[in-house]
Amino acid sequence: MTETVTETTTAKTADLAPQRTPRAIFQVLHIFRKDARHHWPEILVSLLLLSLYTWHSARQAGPAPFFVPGYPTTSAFAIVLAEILPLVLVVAWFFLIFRLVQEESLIGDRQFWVTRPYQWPSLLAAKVLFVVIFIHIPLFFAQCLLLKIAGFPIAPHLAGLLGMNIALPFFFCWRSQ
Amino acid sequence: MTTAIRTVAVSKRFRRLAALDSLSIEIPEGAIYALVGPNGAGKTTTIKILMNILRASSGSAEILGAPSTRLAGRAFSQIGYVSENQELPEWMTVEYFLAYLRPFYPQWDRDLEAALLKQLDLPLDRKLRHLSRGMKMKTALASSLAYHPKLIVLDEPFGGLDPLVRDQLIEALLERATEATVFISSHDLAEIENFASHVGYLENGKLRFSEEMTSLANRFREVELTVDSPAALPANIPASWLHFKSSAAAVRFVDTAFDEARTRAEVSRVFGSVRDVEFRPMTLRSIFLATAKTTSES
Repeated sequence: MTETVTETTTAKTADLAPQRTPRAIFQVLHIFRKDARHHWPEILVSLLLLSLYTWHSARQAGPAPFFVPGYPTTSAFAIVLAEILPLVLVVAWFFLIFRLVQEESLIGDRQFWVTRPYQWPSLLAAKVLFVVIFIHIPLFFAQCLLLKIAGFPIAPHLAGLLGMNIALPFFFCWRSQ
Repeated sequence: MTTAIRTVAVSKRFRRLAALDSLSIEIPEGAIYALVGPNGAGKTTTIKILMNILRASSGSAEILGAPSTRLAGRAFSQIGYVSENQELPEWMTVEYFLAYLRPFYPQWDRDLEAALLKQLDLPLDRKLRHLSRGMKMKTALASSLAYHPKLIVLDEPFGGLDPLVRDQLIEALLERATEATVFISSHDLAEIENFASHVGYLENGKLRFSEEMTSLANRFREVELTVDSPAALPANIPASWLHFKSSAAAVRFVDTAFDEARTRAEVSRVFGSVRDVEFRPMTLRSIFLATAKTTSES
Protein backbone atom coordinates (compact mmCIF):
# COMPACT_ATOMS: atom_id res chain seq x y z
CA MET A 1 0.00 0.00 0.00
CA THR A 2 2.89 2.34 0.59
CA GLU A 3 4.97 1.34 -2.38
CA THR A 4 6.48 4.48 -3.84
CA VAL A 5 8.98 5.48 -6.46
CA THR A 6 11.15 8.55 -6.76
CA GLU A 7 10.54 10.66 -9.82
CA THR A 8 12.31 13.76 -11.03
CA THR A 9 10.21 16.79 -11.76
CA THR A 10 10.88 20.02 -13.56
CA ALA A 11 11.68 23.05 -11.45
CA LYS A 12 8.49 24.76 -12.61
CA THR A 13 6.25 22.08 -11.20
CA ALA A 14 8.40 21.24 -8.19
CA ASP A 15 5.79 22.56 -5.81
CA LEU A 16 2.93 20.75 -7.40
CA ALA A 17 4.54 17.37 -8.00
CA PRO A 18 5.73 15.48 -4.95
CA GLN A 19 9.04 13.68 -5.13
CA ARG A 20 7.55 10.33 -4.21
CA THR A 21 4.42 9.13 -5.92
CA PRO A 22 2.70 5.74 -6.04
CA ARG A 23 3.73 3.45 -8.87
CA ALA A 24 1.41 3.65 -11.86
CA ILE A 25 0.82 -0.11 -11.79
CA PHE A 26 -0.21 0.12 -8.15
CA GLN A 27 -2.76 2.80 -9.01
CA VAL A 28 -4.09 0.61 -11.84
CA LEU A 29 -4.62 -2.30 -9.46
CA HIS A 30 -6.04 -0.06 -6.77
CA ILE A 31 -8.70 1.38 -9.10
CA PHE A 32 -9.38 -2.10 -10.52
CA ARG A 33 -9.97 -3.55 -7.04
CA LYS A 34 -12.34 -0.72 -6.21
CA ASP A 35 -14.34 -1.26 -9.42
CA ALA A 36 -14.50 -5.02 -8.87
CA ARG A 37 -15.70 -4.47 -5.31
CA HIS A 38 -18.40 -2.04 -6.39
CA HIS A 39 -19.65 -3.90 -9.44
CA TRP A 40 -19.63 -7.47 -8.18
CA PRO A 41 -23.40 -7.90 -8.73
CA GLU A 42 -23.12 -6.91 -12.39
CA ILE A 43 -20.02 -9.07 -12.77
CA LEU A 44 -21.84 -12.00 -11.22
CA VAL A 45 -24.85 -11.54 -13.52
CA SER A 46 -22.69 -11.38 -16.65
CA LEU A 47 -20.71 -14.48 -15.59
CA LEU A 48 -23.93 -16.36 -14.83
CA LEU A 49 -25.38 -15.42 -18.20
CA LEU A 50 -22.20 -16.52 -19.95
CA SER A 51 -22.28 -19.81 -18.03
CA LEU A 52 -25.91 -20.33 -18.96
CA TYR A 53 -25.17 -19.55 -22.61
CA THR A 54 -22.23 -21.98 -22.63
CA TRP A 55 -24.23 -24.69 -20.90
CA HIS A 56 -27.17 -24.24 -23.27
CA SER A 57 -24.94 -24.27 -26.37
CA ALA A 58 -23.15 -27.37 -25.15
CA ARG A 59 -26.40 -29.19 -24.52
CA GLN A 60 -27.70 -28.30 -27.96
CA ALA A 61 -24.64 -29.05 -30.03
CA GLY A 62 -22.12 -30.96 -28.01
CA PRO A 63 -21.56 -34.73 -27.94
CA ALA A 64 -22.26 -36.90 -24.91
CA PRO A 65 -22.09 -36.40 -22.02
CA PHE A 66 -22.90 -32.77 -22.72
CA PHE A 67 -25.40 -33.39 -25.44
CA VAL A 68 -28.56 -34.64 -23.87
CA PRO A 69 -30.77 -36.71 -26.18
CA GLY A 70 -34.18 -35.23 -26.05
CA TYR A 71 -32.88 -31.81 -24.91
CA PRO A 72 -35.44 -29.54 -26.44
CA THR A 73 -33.59 -27.93 -29.35
CA THR A 74 -36.71 -27.08 -31.26
CA SER A 75 -39.07 -26.24 -28.45
CA ALA A 76 -40.15 -22.66 -27.97
CA PHE A 77 -38.15 -22.53 -24.76
CA ALA A 78 -34.95 -23.66 -26.48
CA ILE A 79 -35.44 -21.28 -29.39
CA VAL A 80 -36.09 -18.39 -27.05
CA LEU A 81 -33.00 -19.29 -25.02
CA ALA A 82 -30.88 -19.59 -28.12
CA GLU A 83 -32.16 -16.31 -29.54
CA ILE A 84 -32.43 -14.29 -26.38
CA LEU A 85 -29.44 -15.43 -24.36
CA PRO A 86 -26.72 -13.94 -26.60
CA LEU A 87 -28.62 -10.69 -26.73
CA VAL A 88 -29.11 -10.59 -22.96
CA LEU A 89 -25.45 -11.41 -22.49
CA VAL A 90 -24.38 -8.55 -24.74
CA VAL A 91 -26.78 -6.20 -22.95
CA ALA A 92 -25.30 -7.30 -19.61
CA TRP A 93 -21.80 -6.58 -20.91
CA PHE A 94 -22.93 -3.19 -22.21
CA PHE A 95 -24.45 -2.43 -18.83
CA LEU A 96 -21.33 -3.54 -16.99
CA ILE A 97 -19.09 -1.37 -19.17
CA PHE A 98 -21.48 1.57 -18.89
CA ARG A 99 -21.45 1.31 -15.09
CA LEU A 100 -17.69 0.98 -15.13
CA VAL A 101 -17.27 4.15 -17.16
CA GLN A 102 -19.81 5.97 -14.98
CA GLU A 103 -17.72 5.14 -11.93
CA GLU A 104 -15.28 7.88 -12.94
CA SER A 105 -17.56 9.75 -15.28
CA LEU A 106 -15.97 12.07 -17.79
CA ILE A 107 -19.13 14.11 -18.17
CA GLY A 108 -19.73 16.87 -15.67
CA ASP A 109 -17.44 18.78 -13.35
CA ARG A 110 -18.61 17.69 -9.93
CA GLN A 111 -17.04 14.24 -9.64
CA PHE A 112 -14.76 13.87 -6.67
CA TRP A 113 -12.05 12.14 -8.68
CA VAL A 114 -11.28 15.10 -10.97
CA THR A 115 -9.51 16.88 -8.11
CA ARG A 116 -7.72 13.78 -6.80
CA PRO A 117 -4.29 12.54 -7.93
CA TYR A 118 -5.64 10.18 -10.57
CA GLN A 119 -3.33 9.58 -13.48
CA TRP A 120 -5.08 9.26 -16.81
CA PRO A 121 -3.07 6.32 -18.15
CA SER A 122 -3.62 4.42 -14.88
CA LEU A 123 -7.35 5.10 -14.93
CA LEU A 124 -7.65 3.95 -18.53
CA ALA A 125 -5.49 0.88 -17.87
CA ALA A 126 -7.62 -0.04 -14.83
CA LYS A 127 -10.80 0.07 -16.91
CA VAL A 128 -9.24 -1.96 -19.72
CA LEU A 129 -7.97 -4.51 -17.19
CA PHE A 130 -11.46 -4.79 -15.73
CA VAL A 131 -13.01 -5.49 -19.15
CA VAL A 132 -10.31 -8.02 -19.99
CA ILE A 133 -10.63 -9.86 -16.67
CA PHE A 134 -14.41 -9.92 -16.42
CA ILE A 135 -15.52 -10.05 -20.07
CA HIS A 136 -12.73 -11.16 -22.41
CA ILE A 137 -11.12 -13.92 -20.36
CA PRO A 138 -14.41 -15.60 -19.33
CA LEU A 139 -15.60 -15.40 -22.94
CA PHE A 140 -12.32 -16.82 -24.20
CA PHE A 141 -12.56 -19.77 -21.82
CA ALA A 142 -16.22 -20.32 -22.70
CA GLN A 143 -15.32 -20.43 -26.40
CA CYS A 144 -12.45 -22.84 -25.72
CA LEU A 145 -14.82 -25.06 -23.75
CA LEU A 146 -17.43 -25.04 -26.50
CA LEU A 147 -14.79 -25.92 -29.10
CA LYS A 148 -13.60 -28.78 -26.93
CA ILE A 149 -17.13 -30.04 -26.35
CA ALA A 150 -17.87 -29.88 -30.07
CA GLY A 151 -14.79 -32.02 -30.66
CA PHE A 152 -12.55 -29.44 -32.25
CA PRO A 153 -8.94 -29.05 -31.20
CA ILE A 154 -8.33 -25.71 -29.46
CA ALA A 155 -4.76 -24.98 -30.50
CA PRO A 156 -5.42 -24.40 -34.25
CA HIS A 157 -8.29 -22.08 -33.39
CA LEU A 158 -6.49 -20.03 -30.73
CA ALA A 159 -5.58 -17.25 -33.15
CA GLY A 160 -9.19 -17.01 -34.32
CA LEU A 161 -10.50 -16.92 -30.75
CA LEU A 162 -8.03 -14.24 -29.73
CA GLY A 163 -8.86 -12.25 -32.84
CA MET A 164 -12.55 -12.47 -32.01
CA ASN A 165 -11.85 -11.26 -28.49
CA ILE A 166 -9.79 -8.37 -29.77
CA ALA A 167 -12.55 -7.49 -32.23
CA LEU A 168 -15.19 -7.53 -29.49
CA PRO A 169 -14.56 -3.94 -28.29
CA PHE A 170 -14.91 -2.72 -31.89
CA PHE A 171 -18.21 -4.55 -32.11
CA PHE A 172 -19.34 -2.75 -28.95
CA CYS A 173 -18.23 0.57 -30.40
CA TRP A 174 -20.01 -0.15 -33.67
CA ARG A 175 -23.22 -1.24 -31.93
CA SER A 176 -23.25 1.77 -29.64
CA GLN A 177 -23.16 4.27 -32.55
CA MET B 1 6.56 36.12 0.81
CA THR B 2 5.78 33.69 -2.02
CA THR B 3 2.44 33.51 -3.74
CA ALA B 4 0.18 30.47 -3.47
CA ILE B 5 -2.45 31.64 -5.96
CA ARG B 6 -2.15 34.32 -8.60
CA THR B 7 -4.68 35.19 -11.27
CA VAL B 8 -4.00 37.77 -13.95
CA ALA B 9 -6.97 39.28 -15.78
CA VAL B 10 -8.90 36.01 -15.76
CA SER B 11 -12.20 36.22 -17.62
CA LYS B 12 -14.77 33.56 -18.29
CA ARG B 13 -17.71 33.78 -20.64
CA PHE B 14 -20.53 31.29 -21.00
CA ARG B 15 -21.82 32.23 -24.43
CA ARG B 16 -23.05 35.79 -23.89
CA LEU B 17 -22.83 35.75 -20.12
CA ALA B 18 -19.66 37.13 -18.57
CA ALA B 19 -19.20 35.04 -15.43
CA LEU B 20 -15.81 36.54 -14.60
CA ASP B 21 -14.43 39.84 -15.77
CA SER B 22 -10.69 40.37 -15.60
CA LEU B 23 -10.13 38.88 -12.18
CA SER B 24 -6.70 39.56 -10.72
CA ILE B 25 -5.87 38.34 -7.25
CA GLU B 26 -2.71 37.42 -5.43
CA ILE B 27 -2.79 35.24 -2.35
CA PRO B 28 0.35 34.86 -0.27
CA GLU B 29 1.35 31.48 1.11
CA GLY B 30 -0.11 30.80 4.53
CA ALA B 31 -3.06 33.17 4.04
CA ILE B 32 -6.66 32.28 4.72
CA TYR B 33 -8.33 34.01 1.81
CA ALA B 34 -12.10 34.36 1.79
CA LEU B 35 -13.80 35.06 -1.52
CA VAL B 36 -17.25 36.38 -0.78
CA GLY B 37 -20.07 37.74 -2.83
CA PRO B 38 -23.72 37.21 -3.67
CA ASN B 39 -25.08 34.21 -5.57
CA GLY B 40 -23.97 34.20 -9.18
CA ALA B 41 -21.02 36.50 -8.46
CA GLY B 42 -18.56 34.06 -10.02
CA LYS B 43 -17.03 32.47 -6.90
CA THR B 44 -17.51 28.86 -7.98
CA THR B 45 -16.37 29.69 -11.52
CA THR B 46 -13.19 31.19 -10.07
CA ILE B 47 -12.52 28.08 -8.03
CA LYS B 48 -13.23 25.78 -10.96
CA ILE B 49 -10.76 27.70 -13.10
CA LEU B 50 -8.16 27.51 -10.34
CA MET B 51 -8.73 23.76 -10.03
CA ASN B 52 -8.49 23.32 -13.82
CA ILE B 53 -12.05 22.03 -13.94
CA LEU B 54 -12.96 24.92 -16.25
CA ARG B 55 -10.80 26.77 -18.74
CA ALA B 56 -10.66 30.57 -18.57
CA SER B 57 -11.74 32.43 -21.70
CA SER B 58 -8.73 34.72 -21.24
CA GLY B 59 -6.09 35.56 -18.67
CA SER B 60 -3.94 33.22 -16.65
CA ALA B 61 -3.89 31.62 -13.22
CA GLU B 62 -1.09 30.06 -11.21
CA ILE B 63 -1.42 27.59 -8.38
CA LEU B 64 1.63 26.95 -6.18
CA GLY B 65 3.87 28.38 -8.86
CA ALA B 66 2.57 26.44 -11.86
CA PRO B 67 -0.11 27.33 -14.43
CA SER B 68 -3.53 26.12 -13.33
CA THR B 69 -4.05 24.65 -16.80
CA ARG B 70 -1.34 22.10 -15.95
CA LEU B 71 -3.01 21.09 -12.73
CA ALA B 72 -3.77 17.37 -13.04
CA GLY B 73 -2.89 13.98 -11.63
CA ARG B 74 -0.05 14.04 -9.12
CA ALA B 75 -0.31 17.82 -8.65
CA PHE B 76 -3.53 17.24 -6.71
CA SER B 77 -1.62 15.41 -3.99
CA GLN B 78 -0.65 18.90 -2.74
CA ILE B 79 -4.16 20.31 -2.91
CA GLY B 80 -7.26 19.64 -0.85
CA TYR B 81 -10.53 20.54 -2.56
CA VAL B 82 -13.92 20.44 -0.90
CA SER B 83 -17.07 21.70 -2.56
CA GLU B 84 -20.69 21.70 -1.52
CA ASN B 85 -21.57 20.45 -5.01
CA GLN B 86 -19.03 17.66 -5.13
CA GLU B 87 -20.36 14.21 -6.04
CA LEU B 88 -18.79 11.67 -3.71
CA PRO B 89 -18.80 7.91 -4.37
CA GLU B 90 -21.95 7.34 -2.36
CA TRP B 91 -21.68 3.56 -2.32
CA MET B 92 -18.52 3.69 -0.22
CA THR B 93 -18.49 3.68 3.54
CA VAL B 94 -16.56 6.46 5.26
CA GLU B 95 -13.87 3.95 6.18
CA TYR B 96 -13.55 2.58 2.65
CA PHE B 97 -13.57 6.07 1.13
CA LEU B 98 -10.58 7.06 3.26
CA ALA B 99 -8.86 3.72 2.67
CA TYR B 100 -9.41 4.11 -1.06
CA LEU B 101 -7.93 7.61 -1.17
CA ARG B 102 -4.99 6.83 1.15
CA PRO B 103 -2.65 5.23 -1.43
CA PHE B 104 -3.09 8.14 -3.83
CA TYR B 105 -1.24 10.37 -1.38
CA PRO B 106 2.33 9.43 -0.47
CA GLN B 107 2.25 11.87 2.44
CA TRP B 108 -1.05 10.59 3.91
CA ASP B 109 -0.86 10.76 7.69
CA ARG B 110 -2.70 7.88 9.42
CA ASP B 111 -2.40 9.54 12.83
CA LEU B 112 -3.87 12.75 11.49
CA GLU B 113 -6.65 10.77 9.81
CA ALA B 114 -7.48 9.08 13.11
CA ALA B 115 -7.44 12.42 14.91
CA LEU B 116 -9.73 13.97 12.30
CA LEU B 117 -12.16 11.06 12.46
CA LYS B 118 -12.34 11.43 16.21
CA GLN B 119 -12.63 15.20 16.15
CA LEU B 120 -15.29 15.24 13.46
CA ASP B 121 -17.12 12.28 14.97
CA LEU B 122 -17.50 10.41 11.69
CA PRO B 123 -19.28 7.03 11.54
CA LEU B 124 -16.78 4.77 9.80
CA ASP B 125 -19.20 2.02 8.83
CA ARG B 126 -21.87 4.22 7.30
CA LYS B 127 -22.21 4.61 3.54
CA LEU B 128 -21.74 8.12 2.19
CA ARG B 129 -25.24 8.03 0.68
CA HIS B 130 -26.65 7.63 4.18
CA LEU B 131 -24.81 10.60 5.62
CA SER B 132 -26.36 14.00 6.22
CA ARG B 133 -25.04 16.96 4.27
CA GLY B 134 -22.97 18.10 7.22
CA MET B 135 -21.47 14.63 7.69
CA LYS B 136 -20.60 14.47 4.00
CA MET B 137 -18.83 17.81 4.22
CA LYS B 138 -16.94 16.61 7.28
CA THR B 139 -15.91 13.42 5.48
CA ALA B 140 -14.79 15.41 2.44
CA LEU B 141 -12.81 17.74 4.69
CA ALA B 142 -11.16 14.90 6.60
CA SER B 143 -10.21 13.26 3.31
CA SER B 144 -8.70 16.54 2.14
CA LEU B 145 -6.71 17.37 5.26
CA ALA B 146 -5.18 14.00 6.10
CA TYR B 147 -2.28 14.37 3.66
CA HIS B 148 -1.08 17.84 4.76
CA PRO B 149 -1.97 19.67 1.54
CA LYS B 150 -0.14 22.90 0.80
CA LEU B 151 -3.32 24.46 -0.50
CA ILE B 152 -6.87 23.88 0.71
CA VAL B 153 -9.69 25.09 -1.53
CA LEU B 154 -13.19 25.14 -0.10
CA ASP B 155 -16.22 26.09 -2.17
CA GLU B 156 -19.15 27.14 0.02
CA PRO B 157 -18.37 24.59 2.71
CA PHE B 158 -20.79 25.99 5.29
CA GLY B 159 -23.92 26.40 3.15
CA GLY B 160 -26.96 24.95 4.88
CA LEU B 161 -25.05 23.50 7.82
CA ASP B 162 -26.12 23.82 11.41
CA PRO B 163 -23.90 25.96 13.69
CA LEU B 164 -22.43 22.95 15.50
CA VAL B 165 -21.24 21.27 12.30
CA ARG B 166 -19.98 24.61 11.01
CA ASP B 167 -17.93 25.10 14.16
CA GLN B 168 -16.54 21.58 13.90
CA LEU B 169 -15.50 22.16 10.30
CA ILE B 170 -13.85 25.47 11.04
CA GLU B 171 -12.09 24.10 14.11
CA ALA B 172 -10.75 21.12 12.17
CA LEU B 173 -9.66 23.37 9.34
CA LEU B 174 -7.86 25.89 11.51
CA GLU B 175 -6.19 23.32 13.75
CA ARG B 176 -4.92 21.10 10.96
CA ALA B 177 -4.14 23.60 8.25
CA THR B 178 -1.61 25.73 10.06
CA GLU B 179 1.00 25.36 7.33
CA ALA B 180 -1.37 25.52 4.38
CA THR B 181 -2.86 28.30 2.35
CA VAL B 182 -6.64 28.27 2.53
CA PHE B 183 -8.89 29.63 -0.21
CA ILE B 184 -12.53 29.62 0.77
CA SER B 185 -15.66 30.92 -0.89
CA SER B 186 -18.58 31.56 1.37
CA HIS B 187 -21.73 33.48 2.08
CA ASP B 188 -21.21 33.13 5.78
CA LEU B 189 -19.69 36.50 6.50
CA ALA B 190 -19.92 36.23 10.28
CA GLU B 191 -17.91 33.00 10.28
CA ILE B 192 -15.41 34.26 7.73
CA GLU B 193 -14.76 37.36 9.78
CA ASN B 194 -13.52 35.24 12.66
CA PHE B 195 -10.71 33.48 10.87
CA ALA B 196 -9.93 34.89 7.41
CA SER B 197 -6.70 36.83 7.04
CA HIS B 198 -7.57 38.19 3.59
CA VAL B 199 -10.86 38.87 1.89
CA GLY B 200 -12.00 39.51 -1.65
CA TYR B 201 -15.42 40.70 -2.69
CA LEU B 202 -16.72 39.49 -6.02
CA GLU B 203 -19.84 40.86 -7.63
CA ASN B 204 -21.18 40.22 -11.10
CA GLY B 205 -17.86 38.66 -12.01
CA LYS B 206 -15.88 41.73 -10.96
CA LEU B 207 -13.58 41.93 -7.99
CA ARG B 208 -14.63 44.98 -5.98
CA PHE B 209 -11.75 44.69 -3.53
CA SER B 210 -9.20 42.21 -2.31
CA GLU B 211 -7.14 42.97 0.76
CA GLU B 212 -6.12 41.96 4.24
CA MET B 213 -8.94 41.78 6.76
CA THR B 214 -7.19 44.17 9.13
CA SER B 215 -6.70 46.78 6.44
CA LEU B 216 -10.32 46.38 5.34
CA ALA B 217 -11.59 46.68 8.91
CA ASN B 218 -9.37 49.74 9.45
CA ARG B 219 -10.44 51.64 6.37
CA PHE B 220 -14.21 51.25 6.80
CA ARG B 221 -15.99 53.27 9.48
CA GLU B 222 -19.56 54.27 10.07
CA VAL B 223 -19.42 57.94 10.90
CA GLU B 224 -22.10 59.74 12.86
CA LEU B 225 -22.08 63.51 13.21
CA THR B 226 -24.23 65.39 15.69
CA VAL B 227 -25.16 68.74 14.19
CA ASP B 228 -26.95 71.76 15.61
CA SER B 229 -29.49 72.06 12.84
CA PRO B 230 -30.44 69.90 9.88
CA ALA B 231 -28.42 70.86 6.84
CA ALA B 232 -28.72 70.01 3.18
CA LEU B 233 -26.18 67.55 1.89
CA PRO B 234 -23.04 69.50 0.93
CA ALA B 235 -21.94 69.23 -2.68
CA ASN B 236 -18.22 68.78 -2.17
CA ILE B 237 -18.16 65.52 -0.25
CA PRO B 238 -15.21 63.11 -0.69
CA ALA B 239 -15.78 60.18 -3.03
CA SER B 240 -14.96 57.74 -0.23
CA TRP B 241 -18.06 58.77 1.76
CA LEU B 242 -21.10 56.66 0.99
CA HIS B 243 -24.72 56.24 2.02
CA PHE B 244 -25.57 59.55 3.57
CA LYS B 245 -28.51 59.62 5.92
CA SER B 246 -29.50 62.75 7.73
CA SER B 247 -32.06 63.43 10.40
CA ALA B 248 -32.90 66.45 12.49
CA ALA B 249 -29.72 66.41 14.52
CA ALA B 250 -27.52 63.78 13.01
CA VAL B 251 -25.75 62.86 9.79
CA ARG B 252 -24.55 59.32 9.13
CA PHE B 253 -22.38 57.96 6.39
CA VAL B 254 -19.84 55.25 5.65
CA ASP B 255 -16.23 56.27 5.15
CA THR B 256 -14.42 53.73 2.96
CA ALA B 257 -10.99 55.34 3.36
CA PHE B 258 -10.97 56.04 7.07
CA ASP B 259 -8.05 57.72 8.74
CA GLU B 260 -9.09 59.44 11.93
CA ALA B 261 -7.11 62.65 11.55
CA ARG B 262 -7.88 63.00 7.86
CA THR B 263 -11.56 62.13 8.28
CA ARG B 264 -11.94 64.68 11.13
CA ALA B 265 -10.32 67.34 8.94
CA GLU B 266 -12.63 66.46 6.02
CA VAL B 267 -15.70 66.59 8.29
CA SER B 268 -14.70 70.06 9.47
CA ARG B 269 -14.10 71.20 5.91
CA VAL B 270 -17.42 69.87 4.61
CA PHE B 271 -19.76 70.49 7.55
CA GLY B 272 -18.03 73.29 9.40
CA SER B 273 -18.45 72.97 13.16
CA VAL B 274 -20.23 69.86 14.43
CA ARG B 275 -21.18 69.12 18.02
CA ASP B 276 -19.87 65.57 18.09
CA VAL B 277 -18.23 63.04 15.76
CA GLU B 278 -18.40 59.31 16.37
CA PHE B 279 -16.53 56.63 14.42
CA ARG B 280 -17.91 53.10 14.64
CA PRO B 281 -16.06 50.02 13.41
CA MET B 282 -18.06 47.98 10.95
CA THR B 283 -18.64 44.26 10.74
CA LEU B 284 -17.73 42.44 7.56
CA ARG B 285 -21.43 42.07 6.85
CA SER B 286 -22.03 45.84 7.09
CA ILE B 287 -19.01 46.50 4.88
CA PHE B 288 -20.32 44.15 2.21
CA LEU B 289 -23.82 45.53 2.42
CA ALA B 290 -22.46 49.05 2.01
CA THR B 291 -20.32 47.99 -0.94
CA ALA B 292 -23.13 46.01 -2.58
CA LYS B 293 -25.55 48.90 -2.13
CA THR B 294 -23.10 51.32 -3.72
CA THR B 295 -22.67 49.02 -6.69
CA SER B 296 -26.40 48.57 -7.19
CA GLU B 297 -26.98 52.32 -6.88
CA SER B 298 -24.31 53.10 -9.42
